[in-house]
Order: sequence, then structure tokens, then C-alpha cells
Amino acid sequence: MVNEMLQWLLLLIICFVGLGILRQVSLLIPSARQVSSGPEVGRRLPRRSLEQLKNALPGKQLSEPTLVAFVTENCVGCQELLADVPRALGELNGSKLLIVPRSPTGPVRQALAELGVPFVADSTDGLWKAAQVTTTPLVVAIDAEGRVLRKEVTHRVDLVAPAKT
Amino acid sequence: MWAKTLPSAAQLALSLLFLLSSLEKARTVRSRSAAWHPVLVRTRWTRHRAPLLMGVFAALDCACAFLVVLVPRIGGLWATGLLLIYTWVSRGRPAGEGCRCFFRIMDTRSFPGLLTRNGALFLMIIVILLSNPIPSWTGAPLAVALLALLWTIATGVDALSTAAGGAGRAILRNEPQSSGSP
Repeated sequence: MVNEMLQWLLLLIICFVGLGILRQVSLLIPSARQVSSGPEVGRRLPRRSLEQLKNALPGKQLSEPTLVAFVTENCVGCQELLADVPRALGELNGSKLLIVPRSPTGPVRQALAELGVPFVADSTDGLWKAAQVTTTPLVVAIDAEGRVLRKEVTHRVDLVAPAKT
Repeated sequence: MWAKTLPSAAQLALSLLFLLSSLEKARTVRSRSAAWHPVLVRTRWTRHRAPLLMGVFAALDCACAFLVVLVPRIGGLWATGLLLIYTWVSRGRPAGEGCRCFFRIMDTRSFPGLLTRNGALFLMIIVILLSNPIPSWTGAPLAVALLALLWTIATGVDALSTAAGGAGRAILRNEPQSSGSP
């Protein structure tokens, strides 16, 4: 009786381990695309894209640096990034944060407005294409001239901010 | 032999899926991102109560997982109610991204795929309601086979649907994929 119970317990453990592996595989496959996502470091974003970013910022000016977070509505990491924004705002060491959602619906625009962080509200297809975003959430740090300083696929924007001096 | 083990296989498969669903919701609550869930972000009311709503439905899913095994008919009706709610609220979900269903193991990327998967789950529930099975581990191997079959069919419908629809065109244009970061 005890042996049988132990066997079933072992089977249950194996099932959960198997499911955990399956889940990790489903997460790893999109992660393989992370490496090439986003604009090349050192290059400037196109002028039109920069104008669109500036127009969404208070004062219509980029800071040094500005953190641009590319997010989609249904990606897990994007949701974690947005949920983490209130905390991360205190760790940005003077950098501005700008959210660039992909084709946001009305409710998402309202939620972003409630967040109190600037975001690009109009069509962002061209901006996404110019920034060569293939994986999200992508955070890109750009300087005042629109040159890419750093980029990371991460749900923590403060990791891309410059260190405190 | 098939006919004898099918009800308990359906019971085990359904129970496992609802347990996974509960885990996914619990994980979302733990990561504090419930307010940004595609379903809960839709209205101000749900955004502001998102952790509570997500927690309640995680508990309902967990209860369903146990009821399906312990009291099959009640569990089956409970599962029916939950599936109807989840299917209804998934209507406006943007295509192309996973639904984050069942701990992302039985994910679907289109509404037809989701409908197909949930339709198959309803069939399992009907089998349970009609047969009122006694819980038994003899159905475990067939449960695994049922889940594999369900995954294959839903993935196939997903692929056809996204290839035919706008999301398929977006994939061909090499549009962004979610990182799936844990």
C-alpha cells in the first residue's frame, strides 16, 4: 500500500517536472529572438521617429538619456514592466521614461494615462519598424540626439538607466 | 477498455488543466501585474480591483480542479460556468499573442483556436457529467493522450487561423514576438 502510494507520488512529481520543462520550452523559443531585437547601439533613430518620440514628451525634448519602453498588450513581460513602473520611476537617476505601446486599444490608453508616464498615443507602426523591435518588452536608452546608448529585453526599466554618479 | 477509462481520463485531464489555470493566475497576482492583464485592463473598475478578481478566480479554478475529482457532477457544472466566463471575456483579445492559459502550456493565439480548445473541454465535461466517474489513476495515461490530442488540434486551428488572418500577415512581416520572460 505504502509502495503504491510512493509510486503515485513519484509519478505526480514526474508529471509536474515534465510540465515545468514544457513551460520553459514555450518560454525559451521566443527568448531566442531577443539577441537581435531593437536598433543597433550607436546608431541614431530616424528623424521622423525622433519627432514622434519628442512630441509625446513633456517639453517635447529628449533627456540624456531617455528610456523608451516598447510594449505590447498581451505579453507577460510587458505587463510586469508596466506594473513595475511606479517603483522604477524612483530609480531612473534623472532619465525620462517614455512608453511606446503597439497599437494600443482605448482601455490601454486610459490605463497608461492613469499611470502618469508619457506614452505615444498615436499610431506606432512606423516607430516600431524604425526601431526594429522584434521582441518585447524592449527598453532602449537614447541620448538627446536620438543615438542609441543601450538596449535590453527586460521588464525592469531601471536596469537600463545609467548608474547614479 | 477505452470506454471504461475515458471518463476518468477526462476527469484527470480537466482537473490538471484547472490546476494549471489557477497557478497561472496566482503567478500573475504574485508578479503584481494583474491590472495589466488584457481582460482586466479593459475597464477602470476591473483595473482597480484586478488583484482581488484574479485571486478570486484563481481560487475558483483551484476549487474546480478538486471538485471535478471529488464530486464530478458538481465539478463539471462548475467547470462549465468557468469555461463560459473565460470564453466570453476572451472575445476581444488581440490575436497573435498567447492567451496565457493553463500556465502557458495549452496556449492559443487566436479566438478560433481558443474556441476549438474550449469546445473540446466542454466535450470532456459532458463525458464527466454523463458518466459521473469514480476517481481512478487508471485513466492517467489516456488523460495524457487526450491533452496531447487537444494541444495538437488547438495548435492546428490556431496556425490555420493566424495564417489566414491579419496576425499571420504580421508574422510574415516579421513583427515583434513577446519575450515570454518568466
